[in-house]
Amino acid sequence: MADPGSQAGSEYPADPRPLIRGGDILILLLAAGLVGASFGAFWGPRGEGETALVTVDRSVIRELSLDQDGVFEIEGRIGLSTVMVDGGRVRFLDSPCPGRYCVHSGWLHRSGEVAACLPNGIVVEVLGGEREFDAINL
Amino acid sequence: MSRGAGLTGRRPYRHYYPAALLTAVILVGAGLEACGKTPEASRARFQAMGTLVEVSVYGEDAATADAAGAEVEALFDQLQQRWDPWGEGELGRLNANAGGIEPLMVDEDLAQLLDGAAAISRDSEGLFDPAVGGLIRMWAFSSEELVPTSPPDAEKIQQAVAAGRPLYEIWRADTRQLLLGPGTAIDLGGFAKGVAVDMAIDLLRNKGIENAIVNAGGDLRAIGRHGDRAWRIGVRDPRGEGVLAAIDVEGDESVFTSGDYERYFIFEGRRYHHIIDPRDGYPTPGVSSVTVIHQQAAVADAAATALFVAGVDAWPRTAARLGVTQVMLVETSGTIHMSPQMEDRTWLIPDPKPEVNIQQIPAL
Amino acid sequence: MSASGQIGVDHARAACGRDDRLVAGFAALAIAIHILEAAFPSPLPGVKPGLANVITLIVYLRHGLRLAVWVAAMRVLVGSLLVGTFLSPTFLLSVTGAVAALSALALVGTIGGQRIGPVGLSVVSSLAHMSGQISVAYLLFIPHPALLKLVPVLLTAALLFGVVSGLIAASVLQILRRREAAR
Repeated sequence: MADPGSQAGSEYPADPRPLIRGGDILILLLAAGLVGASFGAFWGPRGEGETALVTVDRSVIRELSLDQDGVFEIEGRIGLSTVMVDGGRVRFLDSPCPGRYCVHSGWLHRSGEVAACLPNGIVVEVLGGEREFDAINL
Repeated sequence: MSRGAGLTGRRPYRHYYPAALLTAVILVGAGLEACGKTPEASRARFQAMGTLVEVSVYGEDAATADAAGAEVEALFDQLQQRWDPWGEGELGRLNANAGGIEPLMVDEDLAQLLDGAAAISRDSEGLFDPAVGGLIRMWAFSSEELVPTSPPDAEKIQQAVAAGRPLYEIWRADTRQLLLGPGTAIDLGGFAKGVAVDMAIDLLRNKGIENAIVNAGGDLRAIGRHGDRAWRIGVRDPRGEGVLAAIDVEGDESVFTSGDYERYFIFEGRRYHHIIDPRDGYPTPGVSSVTVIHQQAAVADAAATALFVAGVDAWPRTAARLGVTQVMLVETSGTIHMSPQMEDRTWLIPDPKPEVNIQQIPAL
Repeated sequence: MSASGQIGVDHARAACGRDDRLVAGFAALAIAIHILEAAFPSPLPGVKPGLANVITLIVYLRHGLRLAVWVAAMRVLVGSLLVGTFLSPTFLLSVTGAVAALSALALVGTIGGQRIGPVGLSVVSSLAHMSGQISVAYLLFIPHPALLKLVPVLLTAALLFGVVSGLIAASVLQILRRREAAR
């Protein structure tokens, strides 16, 4: 607390105070830290998936990190399916199934998103981060 | 304290301190609450009826959730067998009798299913018609194992359309009898999945589970809520990748979408999808997807198909006839049509926002 | 009122009339800024940087919390009536912003005393203003995680606007002080 006496007799001190005071600097630093932290908290891995879990007939075959781009071949019931990771997303590139619905599913990146090649028994699911949706309607 | 004191500076405001502190604590508390994590739902996943089925349960221990998932799986397996149009079950038997002389009498379960399908078939003026199974098979969309590569012969399609009669005309509900003409068949896709989801929800409720989603290949019914919030559903963007709209669902609601983007093939630069218009035997042009929200999954399922076939201009009338109020239709051009009831609860994700056209559903 | 009596009473009476004029004058200024701000583009409708808080801050520093509350209340009420958002979600967001900003002002002003000047107070109240509005928008209107993606951007804007309004307030206060000292 400032010394109340310094203001005695005058409502406003004649000597102009500096525009920015010591406490202001402290507050600015704290505020900048808080705002900086908000970038980490809200733009972090929230909602974006971190790994793609590949299962064949319910047993986990691979866990692909979405940070590492690449093309992976997965042995399924009827043949080889190709799964591609690129820039934090994953998709079926090719599959030996007739309808190729799995390839039509396109890119997945949200936590909880799933694509499946049922004839080949392969399911790719994005995991990690916060789930943005409880279910995707398609 | 005198009024004058207030003018001399800010020091004497100690009596505001507790109030200010309390407010700050409440604000910070609200902020933390908003960011805080609630426990996740438990999920069970399996493959049935040609799709991936996911059962999400909230607020039950893992063992209960697992057991519930297993029971739903058994239910789906059983229904799949009975309702496979080309299998050994009741429906397969009916279809195998097509072109026969004597009508077949079906068991009570299938009769009930056909009653429901026939009613929606009639209300939709034949736009939803399970009796086009022959056409679907001709197009090779009837099974995962078939490979559609080119459209069937135009003349054959025309013959099939001319000979076809809608389910509500051929199903004899009173005697539980049905006789199919040669080359015709009943395919309950676009209805059976909805009925199965409804039955699965009943099963979960009977086990005392009050908060759950049964999601069959993206078509779902949700009951209760996810702890302190509603269930959050993302509707897939039929063209772009990812999610077109976010919808919060709670209480008891089904969200079903019919789209042209999963089951299709490209022939000579044209896209042929699996939703066949019973009136001309070809995939309905101009529409990418139709999403319907309705309490009963069976109704939502059939309505999504019927409104897709009704098309960009006629869907509000068909929706009114089916008693459906929450509809979103996406044109192949990307333009979105919504009923006001749907618009109220939908949050469109893409940026820039797609063009949206609000259309009232008429009173009939 | 006690011993030093007569002078204090006169002072209070004078202050009473002066209060009303002060509130009216400052509120008019704040309302003008409030309306200008309504035309300001924002990624979240109704969530605004809160430039009108400059006035709230000046009033708080010169005349104390009570008058600042009055000015802010007048601003939110009359401003929303003029813009036509009275009792709409935007109005609720304005109220939230004002309440959060004033609470932060009172809290930090009381703890910090003379060590914290207009810039610090402005930053704190600006951040509180924005956080309050985002919380209400999220909890009441659009409870979707995608909204949270905007939080860092909005907070950064609030920090910058807070510094700017703080510097404006500090300059205005200095000018006022010099004039009064000269008189």
